[in-house]
Amino acid sequence: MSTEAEAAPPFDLDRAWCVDERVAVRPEPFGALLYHFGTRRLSFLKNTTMLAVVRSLGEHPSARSACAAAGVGAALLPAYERALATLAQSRMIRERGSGS
Amino acid sequence: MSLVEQFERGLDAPICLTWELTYACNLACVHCLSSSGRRDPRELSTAECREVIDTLQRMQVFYVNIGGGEPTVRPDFWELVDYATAHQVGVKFSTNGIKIDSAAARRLAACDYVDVQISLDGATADVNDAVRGAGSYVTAVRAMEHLRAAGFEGFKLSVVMTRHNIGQLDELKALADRYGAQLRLTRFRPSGRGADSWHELHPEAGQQRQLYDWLSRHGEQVLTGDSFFHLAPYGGPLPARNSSWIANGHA
Repeated sequence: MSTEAEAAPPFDLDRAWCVDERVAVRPEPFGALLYHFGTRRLSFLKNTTMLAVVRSLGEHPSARSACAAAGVGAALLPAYERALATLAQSRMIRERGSGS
Repeated sequence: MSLVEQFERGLDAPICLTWELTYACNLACVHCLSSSGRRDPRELSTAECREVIDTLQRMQVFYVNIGGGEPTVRPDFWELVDYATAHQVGVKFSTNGIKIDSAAARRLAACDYVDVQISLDGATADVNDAVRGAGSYVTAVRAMEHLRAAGFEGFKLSVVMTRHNIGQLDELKALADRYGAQLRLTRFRPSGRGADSWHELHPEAGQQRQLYDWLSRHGEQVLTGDSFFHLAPYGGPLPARNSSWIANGHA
């Protein structure tokens, strides 16, 4: 879960995603901190499951598959989808193959 | 667990760290927090600075705010910037612009991991140079011209608010806009030589209100230092954006 306040545009769980190359991911007891060197913005991941999802995005054919592998069940998937949408909006993650 | 409870345990490492790299400076600003001017012979060697950066990398500190003194007058400054960014430690540095020529500006513009803050304390040479010294306005503006020409967008123009420049807020904003920079306002603090010049330079009560009103109108486009985050007795928080880690305007 991430803490951006504004509503993010829809997120496509079935596409391939990855962490932006300019983002540093630092694990923390509560989850993780993300810092984007291009936008100079910071985001939080509020639990370690979200950290596992984000870290493994680049190895999965889809975000849905990354969530499943991290143990995110159907009931919680919408919340993770929203959190991923927020990270995409703030450019912390990007679609693979989209260049930037 | 609530986020508040989680944060009570703190972070594993700082998000950023301020590093006064040297007390050497080509200027001798009358409000200098660190009374800079001359290099201290005990300052860290290049090798020791690299070791500090290695430690920051291990701790995963995201970036350092390098200041001084004038950090760019250290002969190893660019080498240390390259070393830090090659080791995943981002660099923001404050400078009066003395070493920002066209080559340096192009080099800075090419790197995602470096941000630059040009210090200037007046929208005109007379107001600025009275505090920062003769020629310092021209030096800072020339540096901004080089950064703009190199395509460095969104560098910071950092201004310490004094009695003599609060009346220039619109002009300072226009100056930042002209160079594609973002205006950053910080409070004058009575530390170092700032303690000696406090009585001549600190904003007066009416000017504090003027600053508050100006920030209320323009705060979304302006960065401020931490000390701007307070609840004003006028009954509302100041709307300016903080430039440190709560950089998303969520505070």
